[in-house]
Amino acid sequence: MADEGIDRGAQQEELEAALPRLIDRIAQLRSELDESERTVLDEILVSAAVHTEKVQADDIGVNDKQFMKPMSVHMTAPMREQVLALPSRFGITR
Amino acid sequence: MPPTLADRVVTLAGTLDSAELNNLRLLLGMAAGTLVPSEETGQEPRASLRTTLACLSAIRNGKVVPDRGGLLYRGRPDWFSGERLNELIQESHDRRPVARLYERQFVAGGGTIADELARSNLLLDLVRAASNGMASPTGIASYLYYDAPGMGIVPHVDTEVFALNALFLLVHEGRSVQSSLVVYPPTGPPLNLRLSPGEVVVLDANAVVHGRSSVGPEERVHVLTIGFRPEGADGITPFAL
Repeated sequence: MADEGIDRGAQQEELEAALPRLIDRIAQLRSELDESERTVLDEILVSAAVHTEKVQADDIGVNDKQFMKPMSVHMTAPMREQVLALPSRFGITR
Repeated sequence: MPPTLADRVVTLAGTLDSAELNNLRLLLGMAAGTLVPSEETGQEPRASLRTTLACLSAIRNGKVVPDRGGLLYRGRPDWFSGERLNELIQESHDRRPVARLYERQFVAGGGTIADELARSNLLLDLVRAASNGMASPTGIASYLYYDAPGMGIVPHVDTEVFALNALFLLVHEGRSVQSSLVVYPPTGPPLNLRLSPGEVVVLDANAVVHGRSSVGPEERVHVLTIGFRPEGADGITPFAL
């Protein structure tokens, strides 16, 4: 059974379009932090990238995704590339 | 007192649209997948993990009962009979051949019996009682299988389809029975929940990090998970992917 009337393809496109906006907002937040807070945020960002390297590449049909629980199922190939690039985007040394 | 990093992230979250907010939860959930396993040493968790867990919990901002650490219910409802349990166990076996591997678990969409349960008023009443009355069914039920050595799922948060998650332990058998559902509340130690067949848990699963530790040799676990969506989410339209 499925949720009725939901265009999952369009939602996936919206998520992909939103990720660069979110990363820009995180960059703004990061620029306002002191060094200790920035260190903590950087560890979170690097950790997100490290785990993204380990999760399965997205090859699941969008209509099958509704049955998968972990949010990682949202991680399409373009989103994956952006998350993997977070450490370099922010100049964080792992 | 100046705002903490968690305070700042939660403030940022309050200014995001629903797609951006979904992606923030995604990033934090992915971070937890690295940070939680690296912290399982019995020591005080690092600031990065504390911040991640606190942000995931607080972003929901009190939309469900906040003081149970994400575990909203554990028990065996009166209406969940042995006959119904056996029907679901049989259906889980029937659906196993079509299950698909995702990370370290096999997943199959629910069959007729699971879908009927996903739409039942009895289950809806249970989830609403556990979540302060704010839940609507997504109608999505999935069978999860951990039936080969090493299978499990790393700590994560769930999609909006399973934002509130009724989890039924159907089968846990084998020569060794060692794996468990593990919930990581924003404060305090992890909760290791070794459920009995027929036990039900309701999790605030989009906000609390949880996972399943790895099964051992000849250990087999079948779980039915049913999704619900919190209602009244401060104008945010949750994603349904």
